Amino acid sequence: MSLQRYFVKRLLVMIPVLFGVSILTFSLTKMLPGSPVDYILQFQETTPGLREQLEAQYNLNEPVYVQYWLWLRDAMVLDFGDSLISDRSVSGAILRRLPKTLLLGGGGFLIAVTIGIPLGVLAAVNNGNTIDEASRVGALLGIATPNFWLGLMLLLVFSVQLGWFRVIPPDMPTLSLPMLKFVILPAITLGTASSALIMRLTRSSMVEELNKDYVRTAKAKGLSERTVIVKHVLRNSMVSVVTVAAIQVAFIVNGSVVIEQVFSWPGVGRMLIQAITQRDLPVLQAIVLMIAVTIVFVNLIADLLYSWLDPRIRY
Amino acid sequence: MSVTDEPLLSVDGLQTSFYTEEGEVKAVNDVSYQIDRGERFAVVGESGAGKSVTSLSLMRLIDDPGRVKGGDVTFRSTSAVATLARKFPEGVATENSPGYIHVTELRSESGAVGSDPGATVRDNPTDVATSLHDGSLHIEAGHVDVLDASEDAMRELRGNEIAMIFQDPHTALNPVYTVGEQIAEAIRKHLEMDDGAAKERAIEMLERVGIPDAEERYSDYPHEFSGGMQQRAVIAIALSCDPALIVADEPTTALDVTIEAQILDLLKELSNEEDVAVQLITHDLGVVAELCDSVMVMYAGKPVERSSVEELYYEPKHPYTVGLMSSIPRIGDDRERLDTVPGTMPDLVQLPSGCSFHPRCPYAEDACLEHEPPLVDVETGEPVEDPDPAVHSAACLEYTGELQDGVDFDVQIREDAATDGGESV
Ligand code: SF4
Repeated sequence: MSLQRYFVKRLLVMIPVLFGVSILTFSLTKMLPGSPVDYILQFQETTPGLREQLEAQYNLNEPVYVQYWLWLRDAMVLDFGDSLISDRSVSGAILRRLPKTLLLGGGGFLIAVTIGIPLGVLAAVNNGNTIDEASRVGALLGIATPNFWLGLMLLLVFSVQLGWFRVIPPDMPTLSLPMLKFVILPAITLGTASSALIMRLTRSSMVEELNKDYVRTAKAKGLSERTVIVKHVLRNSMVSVVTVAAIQVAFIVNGSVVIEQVFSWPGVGRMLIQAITQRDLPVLQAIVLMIAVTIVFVNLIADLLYSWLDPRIRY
Repeated sequence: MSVTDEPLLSVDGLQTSFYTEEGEVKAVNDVSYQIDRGERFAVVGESGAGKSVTSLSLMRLIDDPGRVKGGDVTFRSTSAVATLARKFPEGVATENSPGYIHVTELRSESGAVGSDPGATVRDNPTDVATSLHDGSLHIEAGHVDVLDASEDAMRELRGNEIAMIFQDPHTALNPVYTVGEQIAEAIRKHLEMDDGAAKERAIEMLERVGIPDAEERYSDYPHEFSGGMQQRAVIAIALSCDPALIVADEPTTALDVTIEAQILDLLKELSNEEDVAVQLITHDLGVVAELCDSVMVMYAGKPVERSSVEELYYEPKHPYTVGLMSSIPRIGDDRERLDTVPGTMPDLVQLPSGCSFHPRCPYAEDACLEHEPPLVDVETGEPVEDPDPAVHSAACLEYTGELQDGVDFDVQIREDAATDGGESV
């Protein structure tokens, strides 16, 4: 099977997966205690007429499967209705905040990968000596440190004490220089644990690959140490690293919800927390669905990368 | 003596040890042999005898915790010297330091390379440097001290002058690159061809080793090849840069018998036609009979017998060789190979006293526990200075006259012994 056909097949498989994801999203948010109407009315006593009118407006009086169908039909064209709180379009609000979250998550992932992989290679090549030991300790610290605490400490040291960074983000477009500078600390906070995990995994899979026979063949060809490691060993090690990196995306998405709070980052994560406390169901459903779909797509990309890296597992 | 009369490869007193927690494992302990241009030379022994470590030592591919402790490996190839002189012009002798190509100064970029103590490509001080000087590069003499060469210089030799074939072709190829790329890679590096030319040559090589539809198979991945074809591809890699010596480490052990015969035929044909020397490493004397001219039998890191293949078959002199010969199955015979040398290879950290083979030797006497037998000419009992395989030598006290009862075996040769292997009683 060619890579193209595999791609098409994987895309088709995604249809039922996405369908399941939408059912889960809808039913989980539905299960939250308390009716949204109570929150709209701010728990005030009102006439039954008004209640009914509101329930009808939000289709809450329909059977659940009808509610789901109506919701799904609109969701497919990215129409999630209006926020219960602000009365503004949910999609619009999310789209306005999305670039900021992408910047933060992308930065965190970039840090996870660009620090994790090279350090993992370094540790593997120095297997057993001081560099390897140091990286082991570093990784352990990185994994064990809670990210919100790390974020607060970074803020305290670099923003408050040293004054190198602002404490709260500037009110600027996403891709402006001050914004790119500000995102450094939250991105480090977000990426640290993932980079430690990726590093350990890169190391262990490199160590395993380094003992394989093809490495000796490559050396016997007279290739330089560098070519042997980067071209031959690393590519083989990446097969397992890609899988874990994809899982890390999920962790980073989760983490960004917390980190956005810590750094007052105006992204989707803070919106999510607000929506939860205010029972803003349309917003909540839209964001949860967005996260789930993102993770499904990241896995698709990982699978494709996987089969591109290793021609044996395309089928 | 001009360089072409001298052996292509001389290994002299090679010692390689692995430093483990149990102590120093003397994997190769004073091994000497030589291989002529175009000769097919076999190194035979059970696993643990030090065969593979010997070859990896001469490729300088010994990894930690192993180290080449001593000895000399001299590689006499005019093309190797020419390549090194061209690649490291700074290292070529000047009028002030005639006769030496110093690769020492070039070591900085490779950093500490572990096992090599110094790093010089030494040439016969007389003619080489002067011939290098006039720019026309008439190198008449010259050799490379393999154990002294820098890591950079070694990389010019590996795959280019000395190539290697490994035991298990299934794992010897990188699964994530096409077979063609893995051949072309070496060609691009050593023959300095561009992508297109290297691809063309790689396809030629695939054809040369008998892979049908070579052009299409070029872009196949290793898992799309059968075991025999994989080994052919590995041979194509080895052959791709016109090496003077191919080291084949158990090249047919992982293959089934029919494929084994095909691969041996291919190796024989290639070494005849391309005039490449082969150092074959095997535990199987049947394979040796198929392919080789001369042979060295190793036991516990040391050579115990050295001779031409003919002589070894008709008149094996060392009890260990005799034991090995009785375990040869006939080619085409799938039966489980009999281990007719009872016992196992001794602990290489604590070698048995005297003759290392004595715990397993049916002829062992008291003297064998005390004296280590030197490798001597079996006719004269004199120690052999020059590891010339024309001189049949063995390391057993029988040939130094120290045994009371002597070894007593009778070798019966079947008619087809030279190709199928011999049998002893
Ligand atoms: S020296 Fe003694 S123990 Fe060693 S091979 Fe000869 S007879 Fe056997």
